[in-house]
Amino acid sequence: MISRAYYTEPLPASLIYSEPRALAASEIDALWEIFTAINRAWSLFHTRDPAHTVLDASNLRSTWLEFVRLRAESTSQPSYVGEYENAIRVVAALRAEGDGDPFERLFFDRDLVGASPNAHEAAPMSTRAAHAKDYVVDEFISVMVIASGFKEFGGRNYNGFLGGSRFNRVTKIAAHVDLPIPGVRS
Amino acid sequence: MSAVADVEYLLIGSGVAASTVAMRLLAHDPDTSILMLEAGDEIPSKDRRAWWDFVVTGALPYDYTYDDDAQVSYTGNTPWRMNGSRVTAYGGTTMHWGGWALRMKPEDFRLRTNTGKGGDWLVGYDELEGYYCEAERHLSVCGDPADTSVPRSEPFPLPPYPWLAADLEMFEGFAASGATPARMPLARFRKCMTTGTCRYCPLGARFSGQYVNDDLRAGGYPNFEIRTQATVTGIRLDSRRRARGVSYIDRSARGNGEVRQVDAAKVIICAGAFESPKLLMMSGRPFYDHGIGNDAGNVGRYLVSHSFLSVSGTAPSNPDRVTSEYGFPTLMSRSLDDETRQATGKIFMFRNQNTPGGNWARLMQAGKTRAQIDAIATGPRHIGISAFYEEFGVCGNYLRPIAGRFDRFGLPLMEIHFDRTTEVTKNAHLRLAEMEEIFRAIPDYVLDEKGSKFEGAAGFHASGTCRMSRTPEDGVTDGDLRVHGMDNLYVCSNAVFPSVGAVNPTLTLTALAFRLADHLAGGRPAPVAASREGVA
Repeated sequence: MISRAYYTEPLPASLIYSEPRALAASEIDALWEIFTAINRAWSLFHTRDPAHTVLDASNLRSTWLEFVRLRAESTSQPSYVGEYENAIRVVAALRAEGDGDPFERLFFDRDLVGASPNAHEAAPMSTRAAHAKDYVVDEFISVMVIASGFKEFGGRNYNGFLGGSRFNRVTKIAAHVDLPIPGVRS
Repeated sequence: MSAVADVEYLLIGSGVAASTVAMRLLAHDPDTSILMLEAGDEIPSKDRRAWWDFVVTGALPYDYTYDDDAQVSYTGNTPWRMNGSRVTAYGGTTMHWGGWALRMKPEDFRLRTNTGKGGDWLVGYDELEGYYCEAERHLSVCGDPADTSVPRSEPFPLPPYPWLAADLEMFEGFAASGATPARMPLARFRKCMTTGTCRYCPLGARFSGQYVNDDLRAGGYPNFEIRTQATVTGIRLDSRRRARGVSYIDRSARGNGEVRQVDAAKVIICAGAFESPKLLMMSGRPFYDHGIGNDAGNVGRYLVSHSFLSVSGTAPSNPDRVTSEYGFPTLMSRSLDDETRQATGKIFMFRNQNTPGGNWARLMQAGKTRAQIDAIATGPRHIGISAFYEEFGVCGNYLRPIAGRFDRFGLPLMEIHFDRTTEVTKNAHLRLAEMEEIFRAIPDYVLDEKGSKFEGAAGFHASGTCRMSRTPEDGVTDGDLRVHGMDNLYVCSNAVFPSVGAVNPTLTLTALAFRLADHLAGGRPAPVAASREGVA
């Protein structure tokens, strides 16, 4: 079992060094769990059916996948593989501890993650938990808001949102047109 | 071409000026030989990883090229900020520019005649008007067909961006004060998706000199070449009147820091308002003791930039949850950019594009709950009006290189001396008072205490340091942008502006670049510049 000592372990404030690589499916699943937990915590995306209103961020999955894969696999520096491995372990440690919802603690417990208000403004004392918050949770929050979560707060556009062309779009279907048939009077 | 020259044209720099000159010269003669030397690196554009980095962390791939304020030595009574002002890279400062593309007004070209201050241009608005039209097509400027702020012979190439909800509440304030709200002319290609991340557009929808250079490289021009990581250290002369070529440090991996020389029939310095004068001052021996074109000591002088004015206010609530939806302003006004205010400093106003705020991600990151964020979204609404204030070039404000000290690109560090007179400060506060009057007329808003600001100077929009003049006693270049006393050395940069008016200078510089290329081509009929729409 991963103990409290794991996520409170001091680390330098800088990004954890790692080599780029493809993420395993299990890692993608664990990171997706963090992303969807963000959606639950702030109630941004819903799927409505006759019986239920379900918080559901699955429409953002392709955007999110592009984001994490570019951060893990691309040769552009820095690689986030180390941060992603760390965040998955921090969540596992919090869950193993059983002291409340691990995600709620990661998102809102300032004693746990430090006073850092957003990504990359590391707290004076940086820990594995603080890294998970700064480099993973906070970035996932940005992705969620940019990818249309801002609309839940009342906006119609937001920096980073691909809002679409302001010009009239061309017809996207091949429209049927009745053509005159030779020899037949219409 | 000269019998001894390696190339016909040698361009120093690769930004909007150099790329436009090169494009136009090649349109005149596709076989002409052109070498472009750029001190900075090539930074990939439209890279998805780099874009995401910018969006979630604010880090730009060219951040490292910005000046470090600690590298500049400042003197004078007014602080000057360089960091964030210019990009040293392939494509130049158009890598990060906002694309605000405004023409100067006719009276701006006659500043000295009209006011006794600053300098007069040697080219008038009427002569430049056709080149303004070409520049607007080249940059793909979206503007209001009903705009009457300046005379124009052609409409804007593309229609303007729509008003935003955040603009509309300002209209009453403008109307009550006699100021006319207008739409901001913005350089954007049709493919713009309004992401607001224009400093690193994921689609390449905002003009950059980089795109022009890329097209020229791929365009089948057999004698066109660009070398990056090539820091020009001096102009070499054959005589007091003729440039022979340049020396440059090859910083590329293959070049290993070697000093190389290139000979050219004509040398055109397109290195901005800081590097252009520094290069002239560092060159010329044994024919010039104090630098080329600097016998009268004017090189590097008359340094001026726009100062920044801002007012802000707050309404008690924001029931419609209005936010600033673009990362650029759509509302502007040139009503206080008029001839009656020319002697005391015109201003060009625009809605502060960052207001009303609404950084929901940051609030979530700070641990605010949904209910707390909803309360903030509908709580007090904060908006601002900002303006560029025209200051006048004076001989006592200058920049000069610091001997023997260089930055990471091998460019000389510099000293900037900038004094602001009490008269300038007093006049700026007159303009601030006019902005406050507009703001007070906006319903429901109360001006913020200490929200009215007249800020120090900054490096963006810097100009005047090689200003055009009739005689070498009063400036550095002539009306054709040729350095006084030289036969084949030109400057194409904001540095040649004797005045910059109250608006962003890039469109005017682009028009000048077209004009220079036509002059160099011998005044032959110019091929009409096509829109870059669909090319970038």
